Amino acid sequence: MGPERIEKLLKKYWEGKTTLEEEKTIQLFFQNEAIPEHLESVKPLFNYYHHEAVKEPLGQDFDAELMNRLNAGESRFGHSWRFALKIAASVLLIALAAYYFRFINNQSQKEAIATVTYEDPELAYQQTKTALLMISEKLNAGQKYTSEFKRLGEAKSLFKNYEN
Amino acid sequence: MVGNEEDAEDILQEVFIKVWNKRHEMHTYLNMEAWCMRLVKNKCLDTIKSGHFKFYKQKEEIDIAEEGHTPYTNTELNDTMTKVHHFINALPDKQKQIIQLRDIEGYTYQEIAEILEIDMNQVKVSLFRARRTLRDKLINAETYGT
Repeated sequence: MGPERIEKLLKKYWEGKTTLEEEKTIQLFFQNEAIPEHLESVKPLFNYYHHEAVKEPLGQDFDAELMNRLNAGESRFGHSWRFALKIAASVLLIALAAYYFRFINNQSQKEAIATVTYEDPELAYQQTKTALLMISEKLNAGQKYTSEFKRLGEAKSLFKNYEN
Repeated sequence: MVGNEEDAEDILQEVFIKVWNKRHEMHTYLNMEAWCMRLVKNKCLDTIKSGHFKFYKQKEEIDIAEEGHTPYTNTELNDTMTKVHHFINALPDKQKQIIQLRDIEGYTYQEIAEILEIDMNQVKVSLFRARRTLRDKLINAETYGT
């Protein structure tokens, strides 16, 4: 390739206006031909592109690992189902734990109430005495009416005796 | 994009698995190759953003041994290639991707636009800027040794 042609192509290349074919031509030039001195500075760029484009193929290890990952990933339920089941199981576990904790807490409170009266006998005695006095007051109030009923019964007996 | 072959292969495997799992939808894609490349690009970007590299150390140096070259010239060659590698790595992400797809992989502007999900004008403008930057850096390196 003549120097004029390569200069024109390179000008187009730096302006981003070359076709893929023209870019291949430039690549080949820098690989195979004697490079003018003023173009030596940009030669490494095209050497780099050439080196990077020529890659070793992927090895058999790659294929084997890929097959292992594909086989491990396939299941009856699939990824989304398994994930949903895991979430549901976690939520159920938390709900059960919360319910159990609340149940235990209620039981403890009931025991605490009962424990207070048994552990303080003086207080228990006073409260019992108060309760019994209340009951007896009510009973005594009723007693007033029973005495009235008794007097009524006596009056009735006197009246019967008078008629006879 | 991810800087090392091991992580690149890992990403490639994940994309293969994804494509396999979506094999029933393949007929809906106009351009299968562009779709696959897009998956690779997105997976690479996700890996870079998350920092979850399986193999941490990025490729720092290019190591080539050309036939017919002396060890001295091979070392010099390696150095210049490493320099070019760093210049390309220093480009903005979009320009770096376009250089890879056009100048190394040989994709058309249309294909690059589909893969990167940008319009063709953006591809041409970015390519122009990337090539100019690389040329200027190479000339400076030759002239000033930087």
